Amino acid sequence: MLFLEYTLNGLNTGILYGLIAIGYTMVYGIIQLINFAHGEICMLGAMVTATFLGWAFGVDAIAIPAAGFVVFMTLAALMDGGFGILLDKIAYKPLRGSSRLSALITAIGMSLLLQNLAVMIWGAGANTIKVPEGYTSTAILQIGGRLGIRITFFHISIWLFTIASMSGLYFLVQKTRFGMAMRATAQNPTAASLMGVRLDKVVATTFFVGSFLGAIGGVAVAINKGSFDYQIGLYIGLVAFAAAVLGGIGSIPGAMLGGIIIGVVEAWAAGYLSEIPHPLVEGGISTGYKEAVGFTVLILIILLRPQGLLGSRGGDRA
Amino acid sequence: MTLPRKETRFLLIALVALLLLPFATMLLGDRAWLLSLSVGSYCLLYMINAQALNVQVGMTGLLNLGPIAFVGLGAYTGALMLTAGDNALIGFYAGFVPELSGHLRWVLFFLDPNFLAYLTVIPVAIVLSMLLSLLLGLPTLKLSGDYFAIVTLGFAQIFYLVVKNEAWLTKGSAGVTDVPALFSFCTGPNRIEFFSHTAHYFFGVAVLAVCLYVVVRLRDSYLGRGLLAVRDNELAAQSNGVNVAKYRMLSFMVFSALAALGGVAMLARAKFVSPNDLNFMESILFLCCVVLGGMGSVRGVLLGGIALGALGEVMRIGLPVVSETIGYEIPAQVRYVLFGMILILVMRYRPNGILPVAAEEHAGGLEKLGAHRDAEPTFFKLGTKG
Repeated sequence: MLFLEYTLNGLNTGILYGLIAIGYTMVYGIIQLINFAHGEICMLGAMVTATFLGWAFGVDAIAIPAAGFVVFMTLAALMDGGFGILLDKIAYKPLRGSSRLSALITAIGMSLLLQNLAVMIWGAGANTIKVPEGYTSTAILQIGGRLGIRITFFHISIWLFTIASMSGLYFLVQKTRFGMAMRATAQNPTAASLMGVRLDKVVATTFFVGSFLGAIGGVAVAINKGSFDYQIGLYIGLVAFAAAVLGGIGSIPGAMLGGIIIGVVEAWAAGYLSEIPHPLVEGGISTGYKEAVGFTVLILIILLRPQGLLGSRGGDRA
Repeated sequence: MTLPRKETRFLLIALVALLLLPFATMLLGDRAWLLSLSVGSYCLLYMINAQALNVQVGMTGLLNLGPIAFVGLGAYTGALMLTAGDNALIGFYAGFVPELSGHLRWVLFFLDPNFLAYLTVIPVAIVLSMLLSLLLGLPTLKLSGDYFAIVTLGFAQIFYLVVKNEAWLTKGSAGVTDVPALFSFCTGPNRIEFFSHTAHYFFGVAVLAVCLYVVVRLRDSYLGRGLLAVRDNELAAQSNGVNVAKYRMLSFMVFSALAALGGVAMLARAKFVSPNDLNFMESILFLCCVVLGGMGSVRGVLLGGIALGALGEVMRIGLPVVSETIGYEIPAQVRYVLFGMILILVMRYRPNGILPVAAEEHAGGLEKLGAHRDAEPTFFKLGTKG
């Protein structure tokens, strides 16, 4: 029973990591850049959502209408998509053609900048995102006692959103002309450009989609955790990047699969680490190592199978 | 190839200036003197660690995003060895060396039991750090730049979590406190006032001098030319018989040794180390020094360390004062915003830093191999693939 509960918790966080990982994987697929600032984009999505809800319903509001919640979160996510495009235009575009080291260092600089700008705007304290009444508390399905398995509106909605966005992305990338342009750019930008693909538009769209999904993922992670601060981006960004690499960077289904695997392993670690005896100390291994799961998976996958689980090409990725 | 004389002169002058600084600022009164020592010793840490990182990032072109793990290993090794068994190591030396009195204590500083204990700790820290770099370096030798960077970042985060969670060894989040001072005459009722404030500063200058010597000698040797060749064009280097894996490992090990030394210098300054010192931000600040100064440029990185160390410390001390004066609370994070902007702006407008490597210093790398420096992987450039 406990095992099922941990697994379900892991699946719920895992799909959120997956949503965020899509941003990494799409950008890497198109311009081969680890967009280090993606975690911060997700954090901004959560911050802006919290701010909008605060403006609209008052900071002390207890109950928020569901429709208002959806509208303002969507607005914030769209705005965050705009931030993503801006990020590319301001920071990365001027560096096209220079060394990859420069681009990566710029991305790190952008991450540092956004994280600390967020502190200056929203402060270093904990923020919360207000949710409609009963959204995370009312169980639709409850098995076992009070601490047993429970599924709430929140869980249903993130699963629905994830399934919808995955199908939407599949349709966009595989079935439309624009998706074909994206795939062509990922394969060979020069050839794609010669065939009339407008590279700037493809790159901008990639950043928009990745940042939009990242914002929703950021909001959901923030709700899931209860409270969040400006540092949330660093951790979820790195975990999501690990998920993207695990699934095979450049592969959208891979990012989701990677996210789910890392989420589940992390939940198991949180649940079972303390039951593994520590070789030197009384009591089990510290559950503080839960956060090491993502990094460990990341290092192992890079060393053992750099092309990832669903990555098709070997060699040139790592 | 002879040593570039201009550079040697520059480095010597810088070291002498750093040595004289505490004496010069003494004339400005006590407060200015203490402030200059605080800022100066902080800058020294940045200069040391940036020089170390420069070997790997600047000279070999391998982005390491977790240098703080190696600095931290040095600091923790030192702290744990010095405090173990109620400062047993110092007690051990105290039983050997004669007890001195008066000014003899600082004239014969190398007989001080605390100092001897520190000297014992240094090689251990260096060896452990090099072993760690071997452990991380061997499996990652073949990784491309981006992936190597991410592995080092993940590794540093894991190192942080281990230090934080293995409290039986590292004292956990509280950190190791009450680390003995560099010299026995730095603390206690019989301390020598001047040295209680300056000893760690002079130690920092000495460590920096060692770092500069190692880095310059390494760069000007055939090994250094191998490193530069690997950085400039891995493929060309390999086809000319340069063992790329060997040189990547070499740069990692030299970096880790110098970083461990930097960690001991950090410990001598703070006499305290905690998981907070292993923050990811620290790694980025070291990188910032290297990038600003000019990747691969010894002089530039020295300047980068001074500039950012001073900027950081002056802002940390100065911002509350300014906030109070203008009646508006300036958040402390302003300095990180500034560091982020420096990274972005330098990469965009001066990718070779404020003091780029001069052509003649660079000669002998790839040029000797007859290759050009145009085949490095580029970022989304038309006509190239990935």
